[in-house]
Amino acid sequence: MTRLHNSRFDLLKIPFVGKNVSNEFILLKIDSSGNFSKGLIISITGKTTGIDNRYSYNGHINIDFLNRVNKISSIIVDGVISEYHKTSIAYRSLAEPILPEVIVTCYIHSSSDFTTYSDWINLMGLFGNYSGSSGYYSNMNGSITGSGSNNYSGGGSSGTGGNNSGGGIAEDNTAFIDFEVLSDVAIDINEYLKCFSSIPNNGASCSVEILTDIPVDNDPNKFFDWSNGSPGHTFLHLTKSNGDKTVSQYLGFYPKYGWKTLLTASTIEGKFDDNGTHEFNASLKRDVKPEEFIGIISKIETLAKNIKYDIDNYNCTDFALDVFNSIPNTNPIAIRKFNIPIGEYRNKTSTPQGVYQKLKSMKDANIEGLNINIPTSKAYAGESSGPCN
Amino acid sequence: MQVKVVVHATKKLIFMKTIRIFTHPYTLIVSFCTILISGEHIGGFYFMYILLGLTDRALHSILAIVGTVLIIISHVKLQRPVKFISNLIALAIMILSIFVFFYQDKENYNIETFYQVVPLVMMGFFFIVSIAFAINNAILLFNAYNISKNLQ
Repeated sequence: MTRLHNSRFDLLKIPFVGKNVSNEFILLKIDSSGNFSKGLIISITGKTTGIDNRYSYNGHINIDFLNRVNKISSIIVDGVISEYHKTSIAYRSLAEPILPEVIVTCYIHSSSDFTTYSDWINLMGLFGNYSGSSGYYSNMNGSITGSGSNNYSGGGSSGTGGNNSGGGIAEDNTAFIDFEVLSDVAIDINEYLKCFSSIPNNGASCSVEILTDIPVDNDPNKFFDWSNGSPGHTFLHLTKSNGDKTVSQYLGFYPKYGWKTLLTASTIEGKFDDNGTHEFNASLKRDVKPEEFIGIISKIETLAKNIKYDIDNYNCTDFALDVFNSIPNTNPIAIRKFNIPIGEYRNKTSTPQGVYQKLKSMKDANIEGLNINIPTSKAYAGESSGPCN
Repeated sequence: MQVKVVVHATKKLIFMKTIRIFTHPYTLIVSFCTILISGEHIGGFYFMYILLGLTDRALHSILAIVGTVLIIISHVKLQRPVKFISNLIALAIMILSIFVFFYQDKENYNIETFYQVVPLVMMGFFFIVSIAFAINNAILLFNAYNISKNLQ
């Protein structure tokens, strides 16, 4: 059993009689109620080779549905299932860093300078849901936390049959691996918004949250972090859930080329980024009806077609407020605007400080106080569900 | 034959003038201040970041000001060989200022400076000028040392 941290489901690997679990197994997705929601038959062959201390896994994978209808038959190149990534070097590109969703090889250097390695697999990636720059990996040989051997034959950890010497289902060691993204990568916002349509509207719970990150955590009156010129950031969190299905996206608006913002007074090309795990200092969350949520999505899609970035007049805060205040039947958030050192004098500017101060005053006055979260120092947003093809 | 000599002399003159421009202290200062920083939301010339940081006594700003002032003093007031030593020290301080600016940026807010073409070109230009400036001052210092040694 592979338990994914903070996840609502587990993954169960069932070996075939007489076959090595690292090469062939049934993979079942189990929800929090213990129901099987999805299943695949995985057949994987390959080998790890190393050149100059860089190891890679190459081989072949066959993924069938439980009725033996083939889902994918693909070669694995350097740990990547080629069929899931048509652009063969996408995972290597700094512009779009994606971990191999199938195999990651780890190196273990013992104290006697002896190098070993093991192959790890992103089981969720086999369903086609790669995590992009991060994910939970389990050892391909099925290493277990309890007693028993690493090689499974039959139905258990020793011999044949369904017995498990550990008493119950053995649990895999999992490792969370994330790719340290060096730069904010622009996303196709439509692919992120598309995910929400996969969840039925009937009985769905939806929410929109505005989050603000002030540049200096312990001083909300400072416009900039003078050490790096950061003015802070305001972004949105959209959530839709129905039963055990949840889609959660953190979206923020940025200039495409930061260096252009102060070299020209006119608007410049903008972009959207995935703000999952972004720091924040205050947030306000509002629940919305599914039909209202559809309207919010449409609003973002419309803005995304024509939007331009302007540090004074339409920055990340303006975008976030524009969307958040379009929630019907709610009081729009009106924030105080400021003259910023780099802005035009006559047009005061929306800033993350303005949002923070507004949320703080609302919290102090107990206006939507329960929906406002102001961490003691700072907090971090969760992870986005990512794009849907 | 005379034409060849003239052409050669002209080429040499142009080459020497180019070297002189590249190794001039003011060229170094201008290229330093016009390094283009690209942040997530804002960006601009490094000169702006120096001024913004001064209000908060940021280390990178102080180093930048010290280095720049030292270069100017060297150029205007000092005599060889102290001048060359001072130039090299000032250059080191300026490069340290840039290093500190990016090193203290723990959240990599300005990391796109190294991934976008125009900022990268401007940074590259500064380092080319720095290398030329450093080599020129090192050669002049070496020559000054040799001269003083011969005079002894």
